[in-house]
Amino acid sequence: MNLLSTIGAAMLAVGVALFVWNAWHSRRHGVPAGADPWQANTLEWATASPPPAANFVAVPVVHGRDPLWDPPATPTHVAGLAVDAREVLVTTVLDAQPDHRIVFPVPTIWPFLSALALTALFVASIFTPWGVVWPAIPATIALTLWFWPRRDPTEKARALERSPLVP
Amino acid sequence: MRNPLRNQEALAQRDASLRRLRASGPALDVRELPSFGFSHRSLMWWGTQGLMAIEGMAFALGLGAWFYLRAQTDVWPPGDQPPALLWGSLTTLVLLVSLWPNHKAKQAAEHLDRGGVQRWLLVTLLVALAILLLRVFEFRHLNTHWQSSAYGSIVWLVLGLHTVHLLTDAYDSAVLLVLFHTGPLQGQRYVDQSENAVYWVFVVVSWLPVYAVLYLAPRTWGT
Repeated sequence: MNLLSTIGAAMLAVGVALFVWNAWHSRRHGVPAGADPWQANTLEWATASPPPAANFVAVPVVHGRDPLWDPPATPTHVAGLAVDAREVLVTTVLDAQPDHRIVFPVPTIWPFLSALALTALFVASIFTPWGVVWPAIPATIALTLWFWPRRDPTEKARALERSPLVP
Repeated sequence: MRNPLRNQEALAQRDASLRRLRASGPALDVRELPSFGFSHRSLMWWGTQGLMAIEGMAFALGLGAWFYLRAQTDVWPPGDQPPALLWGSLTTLVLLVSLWPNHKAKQAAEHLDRGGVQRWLLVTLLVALAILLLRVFEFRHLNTHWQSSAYGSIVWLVLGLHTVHLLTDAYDSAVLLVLFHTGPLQGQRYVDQSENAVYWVFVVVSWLPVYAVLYLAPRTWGT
């Protein structure tokens, strides 16, 4: 059994070494592959490499299972999303019909501080039951401030707002 | 999977598709779509459903552990009285009553009725605080301690788990209530309140099996 494990470990080591050598060799001597070396069928190959933030300048519209192989169809892309807010399109679940737009929140420090407080909570809970209680207070404060809307982004979101209720 | 890249024609077609995706042909204009939606249209709804699935499983595991321990033990509850029926039953009653203001608060949110949300969310919050007070009496009349036996441990665990949900949703409601008074408010916050109400329904519905097991089962299957 030990011998079998040793053989397995050796095979793993060869595999990792091969991977490392391949990565190093490709970096030194390889030809740049470009954005889509495979002439692939799916969207991740349709953007630049490395991809820009948000992946696409304009969100592409997909008309079939293999969007890069299917014949071109219209509309080609989504327009009307804000460029100065983190506005994204939400579609229906099964048919992927455009349903509504939502604005994601701006980045803040509070998710990070929430994570720190929660880490403290779980570590402390190993040693004493009070380790659950006391760190819960900073965690609650950090989570609340994470959620609490800021005035300027809210104003911006309100400017983009359309009610789903029929007037 | 077909491979259309064997011939030049297909390759050219694919390149045309790629160019179309990158360039601007006719656009799909989403400017006039609503900026939020309720129920399963909302991302929040999916998050809440996921939370309920996870926490529902946690309750199922806790209650399963109760029955497992009961099967391993001759005397149940071991050396203790079952929890006092009065306080648990009162909690159950008030929780069921709380569904009504909670539903009104949900309806108000879905009609974007700020005043209605302020009114009914306040009522729901007050009922939640009353239930938390009842919960204090429940803990004081559990007739067991968490360190006294496996029975005591599992009873405290399950009741503690449900109390965490009570606390969380009461706090959730309090934060939203303050926000609906002070702002800054936007349509998406009404979706948050609608989902907060769904979470409260989970707190009520998950209580029913917990009540049945902690309070009724030891009287039925106890020794």
